Amino acid sequence: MIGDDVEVTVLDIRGDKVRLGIRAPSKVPVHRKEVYLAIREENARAAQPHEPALKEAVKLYKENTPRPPARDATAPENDAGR
Amino acid sequence: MDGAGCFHSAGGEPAAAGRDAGLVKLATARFGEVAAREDDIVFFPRGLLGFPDIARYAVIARPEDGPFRRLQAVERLDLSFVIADPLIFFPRYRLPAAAEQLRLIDLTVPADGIVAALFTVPRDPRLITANLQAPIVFNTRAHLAMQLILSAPEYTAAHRVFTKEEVPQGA
Repeated sequence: MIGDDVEVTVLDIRGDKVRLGIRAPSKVPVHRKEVYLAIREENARAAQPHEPALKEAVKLYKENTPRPPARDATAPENDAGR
Repeated sequence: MDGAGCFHSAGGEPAAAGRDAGLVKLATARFGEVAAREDDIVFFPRGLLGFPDIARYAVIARPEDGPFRRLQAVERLDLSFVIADPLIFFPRYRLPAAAEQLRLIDLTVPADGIVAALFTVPRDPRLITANLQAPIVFNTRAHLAMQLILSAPEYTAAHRVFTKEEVPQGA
């Protein structure tokens, strides 16, 4: 047990491989280390945005979305008739 | 909870005259000085993954950033992230229920929640990616936020934004 509510059990031992089971309440997030590491790395990359590229991206976005979310404001009220 | 709606603009609105008290000036390393409203400062009880000790961030909306927002560390002026409403680029993106995890930020009323994705911006803008596996969830009422880790296998930490890529609907 880890604390009061996290239970670790050995599911299987085969040769030099051990399979572990982890039972924890859903408020305790359980993730594989690779997932954590991958996200940590992605966060580290995200912390270094290339500013000129971001500017370009804003342009790309505007070119690719001729009608941004503002369309709600311009939607005719009598749309219901269709 | 949806990702629609996106934060107030920082200092953009003609805030009540003379009420400067609510503004925090930040001389950021990346985009110069900005004024963040107290209301736009959020607290991450656990920080972001890899940045566990940095808890206070300002959400900055600048007109020149288009759909993007900056998540600027208040105490580390050289640290900021690019975020945006993921639905802008991935309309079918859905968060699986993560109610238990969201207790960390006291989020019990879905209407109080806003989801944002972190974007990685490399030199080539066409290669920008969104992290759909570890989105940020804000409790707008409590000014708390956290980075969730989803176990939905269809979402990864790097989805291309500007190339055709099928993003399957979440569970």
